[in-house]
Amino acid sequence: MADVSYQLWFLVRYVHVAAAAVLAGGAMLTAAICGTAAGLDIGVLTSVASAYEWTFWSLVGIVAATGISNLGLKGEGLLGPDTSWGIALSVKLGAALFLLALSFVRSDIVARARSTSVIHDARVRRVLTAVYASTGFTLLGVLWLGLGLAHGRY
Amino acid sequence: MDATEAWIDLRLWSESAFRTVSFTIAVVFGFHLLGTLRESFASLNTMIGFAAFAVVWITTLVATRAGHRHYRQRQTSSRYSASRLESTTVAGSLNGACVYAVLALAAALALHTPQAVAAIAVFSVLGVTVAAAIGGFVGIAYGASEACLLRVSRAIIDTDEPQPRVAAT
Repeated sequence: MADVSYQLWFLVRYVHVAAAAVLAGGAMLTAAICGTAAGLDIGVLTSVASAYEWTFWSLVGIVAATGISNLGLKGEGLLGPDTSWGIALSVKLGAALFLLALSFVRSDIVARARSTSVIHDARVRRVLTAVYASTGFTLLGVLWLGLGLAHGRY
Repeated sequence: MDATEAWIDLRLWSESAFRTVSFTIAVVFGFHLLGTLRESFASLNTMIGFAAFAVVWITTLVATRAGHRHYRQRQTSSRYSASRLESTTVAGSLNGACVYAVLALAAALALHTPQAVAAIAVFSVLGVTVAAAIGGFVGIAYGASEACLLRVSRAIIDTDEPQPRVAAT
């Protein structure tokens, strides 16, 4: 990995952080829209949620690929699972898998809410607010761990 | 195939991305827990890694779509019952075979001597079968875990439940 250019290293890192920031910011924004826009039609809310879902599942692949590339670019700096850095990486990867499971459930809820005529407005609003807020906070937690791993805090 | 059916929808896109990303992270997590992550990355470079990830994502998308079609055909059939586990097994097998075929093709293009291409072609008969079997087992695991997640989703909110009745006055 010694022949990796600085520009490529910077590009991979930048794309990873930018994509993760869009995911976290988008989840918080969607949660805020679902939680506060009481007068907004449920169809509009599910459209906003659907737009986020398309963005999320497109960007999450980019985040994963660039994140793993970041790990590869660390080369000799990659420590074993018994070190404090390794434990933090285990927690981060576990949190990423949890986030994916949560997102699978969230996408199913959005897809069903959009395709059915029987909609319980208030319940759907509450559930959407909760799942998008959970997604946002989980993403922020993963981002915080990632920053610590990148800057040798552990 | 229905002519009006969209090639891709949110469910297909989210399922294929979920499978690709969770599988990749699980593999990396496994190497990390075994303490062999550094050695595993030593044989890769950034571009090969990105290309491999893109190939797996594309083959997973195609295989997931085939699994969905299989499930819909079963739903409309009077002889068979639709099974989500069966559709993910079909998708997993197809994905394993596709990934192996792409790897074999890449190896043949990289080596491009007649002897090497012939050897790869002969070995691929067995290779595709083994890859499809492994993919099928991965598909079963995904089918079971996705069924659990869908159960959680239905428990949180069931859009098919009846509307509360309004008392007649």
